[in-house]
Amino acid sequence: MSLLENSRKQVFHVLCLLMLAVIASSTLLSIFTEGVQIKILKDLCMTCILFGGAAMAIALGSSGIPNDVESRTIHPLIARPLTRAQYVMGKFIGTVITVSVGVAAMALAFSALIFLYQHSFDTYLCMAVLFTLLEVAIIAAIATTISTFATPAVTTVLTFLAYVGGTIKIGYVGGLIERSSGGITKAAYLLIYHVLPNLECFNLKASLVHHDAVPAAYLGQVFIYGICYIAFVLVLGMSFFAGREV
Amino acid sequence: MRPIRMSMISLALLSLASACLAEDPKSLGHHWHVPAYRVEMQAQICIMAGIALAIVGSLWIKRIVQTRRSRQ
Repeated sequence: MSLLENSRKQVFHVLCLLMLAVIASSTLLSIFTEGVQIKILKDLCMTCILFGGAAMAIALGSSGIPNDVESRTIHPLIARPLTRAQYVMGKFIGTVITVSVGVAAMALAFSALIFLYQHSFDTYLCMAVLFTLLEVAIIAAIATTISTFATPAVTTVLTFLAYVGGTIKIGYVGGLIERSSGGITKAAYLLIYHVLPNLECFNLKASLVHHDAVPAAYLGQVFIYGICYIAFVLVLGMSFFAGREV
Repeated sequence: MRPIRMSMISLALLSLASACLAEDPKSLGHHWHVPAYRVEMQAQICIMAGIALAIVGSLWIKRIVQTRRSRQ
């Protein structure tokens, strides 16, 4: 139900079409030489897939539960033999599947472009897209959890901040911790540092662009970390929603 | 107008693709070569496991206390 509801939203269609248009128009990069052109194409397309997926996850994840509560469509759902935890989980899975459809469409267009340029499929592409999808799932989990107690606008802003913070966490927040001297300030930075997700580690764009192999142990660790973070954030969301009056 | 627009597009693309223009990919220090990323992931997994264990433990203790009280 959540999947149907999400797929009917305008924001999903607009973002999908916009990103597909950007990916298709990246073929116009004829001002560069052949070797650089394909690298820029991969870089640009992976950035589009990530931005598009993240924007869809934020837009769809932040509006699902508050809209149901506001329009009171949640009451017949809760009256059924369905726990609140299952409802939150269903909303999250619906968001992830909808975003996956959009990301898959973008990845297909991208792989077709790569085939046109390289005359072969890139095996690194599947891995990069799968880990991008895991990153997007983390963003969707954060949006779903925040939406259990906040309005859609607040959820959108907070999730976007978490996304940006998670992307620059090691480089920027890590640097702030090293430079700070005060006890309370350092403790606050450390709290932010450990609460934010480490999203940069899901970004395997450089591996795709340079064909630089990523160690399997590292990939396994990133995968386990992603699943653990999603589970933890969703359990928090379920416990928030269990105690809320709807 | 056209040259200005072209140069702006080129600049935007170059800024997006700055990573791929590096001569040596290793010099970029990809995150799988940086130990801080691995350490932080392990730390966060440990923190999450610790919090989960603490919650489960507190619920278990709460249940035991409730059972003893009901017996009394």
